[in-house]
Amino acid sequence: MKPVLSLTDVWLRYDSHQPWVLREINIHIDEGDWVTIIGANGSGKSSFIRLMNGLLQPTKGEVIVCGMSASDPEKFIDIRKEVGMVFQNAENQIVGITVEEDTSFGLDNLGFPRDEIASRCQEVWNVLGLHDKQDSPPHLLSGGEKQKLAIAGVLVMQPRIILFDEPASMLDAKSAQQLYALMADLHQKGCTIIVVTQEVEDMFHGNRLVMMHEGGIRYDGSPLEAVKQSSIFQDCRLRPPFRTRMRDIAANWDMESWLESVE
Amino acid sequence: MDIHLERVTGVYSPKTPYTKTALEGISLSIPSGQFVAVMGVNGSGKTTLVQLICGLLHAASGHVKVGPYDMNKKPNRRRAWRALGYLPQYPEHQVTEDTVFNHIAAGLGHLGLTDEGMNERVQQYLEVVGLCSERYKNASPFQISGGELRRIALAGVLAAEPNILVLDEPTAGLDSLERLYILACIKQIHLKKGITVCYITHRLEEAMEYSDRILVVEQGRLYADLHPSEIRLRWRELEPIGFVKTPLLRFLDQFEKRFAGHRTQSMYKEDQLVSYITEMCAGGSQDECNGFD
Ligand SMILES: Nc1ncnc2c1ncn2[C@@H]1O[C@H](COP(=O)(O)OP(=O)(O)OP(=O)(O)O)[C@@H](O)[C@H]1O
Ligand SMILES: [Mg+2]
Repeated sequence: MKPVLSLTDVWLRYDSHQPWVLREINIHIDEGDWVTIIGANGSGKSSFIRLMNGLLQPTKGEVIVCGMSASDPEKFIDIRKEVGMVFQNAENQIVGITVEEDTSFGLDNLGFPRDEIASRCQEVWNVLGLHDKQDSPPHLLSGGEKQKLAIAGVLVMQPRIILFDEPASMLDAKSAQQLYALMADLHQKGCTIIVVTQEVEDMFHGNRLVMMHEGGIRYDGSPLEAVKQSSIFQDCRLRPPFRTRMRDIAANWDMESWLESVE
Repeated sequence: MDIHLERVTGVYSPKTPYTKTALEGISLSIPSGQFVAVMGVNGSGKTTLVQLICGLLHAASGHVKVGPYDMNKKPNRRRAWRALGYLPQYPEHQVTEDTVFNHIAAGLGHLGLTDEGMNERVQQYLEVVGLCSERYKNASPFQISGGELRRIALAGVLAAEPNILVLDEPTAGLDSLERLYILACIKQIHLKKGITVCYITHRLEEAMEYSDRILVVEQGRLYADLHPSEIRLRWRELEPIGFVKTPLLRFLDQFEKRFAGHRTQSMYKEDQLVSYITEMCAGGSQDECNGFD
């Protein structure tokens, strides 16, 4: 299978006097993968996913998205159609003067028929719980509602790959759970999903976990393997997830087996 | 300074098409020195509640009192503001000064400190949040990491030495260690100086770990007011309004199901569980331990 997204020997720095922000990144993501990216503040996660839709160009190395080179300016628009991105700071992403206008903005631009736009918007608002806000001006929304609006604008476009940069940071626990259920649904339908998160407990949602440390990839593999190794989390300056913390305590008393029986 | 709210209503943009009653009929008291967590789903009215307490939004009806000050009156609000420290959500978006020192000093103008006094104060509070003053005070706020910037914003609020600290999701967007660090700083100041802390969070595990009281807002009303130890007992009330079990709560449930008769019902903090297990295994009651296999 050909990867849908690949970064080969990618290095990035914002200018030549500054240290490398990303170093020696090699990653190949298959169509239908669900990748979770975790790492401490400043480890390079946001820069990393901004390379994946051509928003940032690597200083060295190559980025290929759906068979197109991300550094080819002619492919720019085609890449944006395939890859949707939910930004970390929702406010940057909001363009419309009402929720309704904001959500339909992208589809409108591409000349989609009215009823198609309406039904896609309705569907997304329902899942995100924004249905009674469609006439509200975005600046009057609460913090979490703004974040949901930014997510809605991307989902209605039904992109093939979706990049989420800390999409649940301002959501309540239930909304976060619903968002992950929505991702599972998209994933089921064949969508490739890449999520950056600060919530270590959320790493179990995807099938692949990438851990970043100081601009490099420190771990790339199954989340269920990572959970057994608290040293990787420590190396990355992260607090290990609850399960790993309990494992460490159980290990002191040779009780891993009972722990597993509780889990 | 105690905080009292009496039948308070919070209304946004009154007399416009977008008018919205975000809070209704809230009565509560927060005695001086309490550590209160405010929880509730998106749009339930948490930010509105803390803004009313801080006098940043005026009660459409009812009374908000902070210490002796009735917050409906403007001169009173000014006096109360000296005692209040408010950290808005994503405070880093509001940083405008060119250096970290100037950013913190800008919030201390009203104290009338000498240059030397100001220097000392800034240095002291940078250290409280774990940043080396020499290294950071002349740095540009735009060239440091998100976690450091959040600490600096917190240092700015703490440096005014408020009696009441109000924080809107202070740990959102921070990595797991940075979150623990910020909360530990807040807890330490709270314990050392006895200040009141009122903070909004979506993380139940934080609220259970750090607060003495959890206020739950639901659709503009005060839905529940409880101690962290009551969370498990009152789960049936909380689940329908969007509470989701933390890994610790799920673990305790499983634990009790599998090993009936263990004294874990009253636990709500991770270190309680850890000491329980450790005691059991180390304290010689090997039988009990073997019972696990
Ligand atoms: N300026 C405003 N004008 C009109 N309505 C507003 C305004 N600000 C907030 N609201 C509405 O008031 C309600 C409560 O908002 P508030 O910001 O207090 O919620 P919150 O509990 O802090 O939510 P979140 O967890 O998302 O931050 C929401 O329905 C919101 O849309
Ligand atoms: Mg809020």
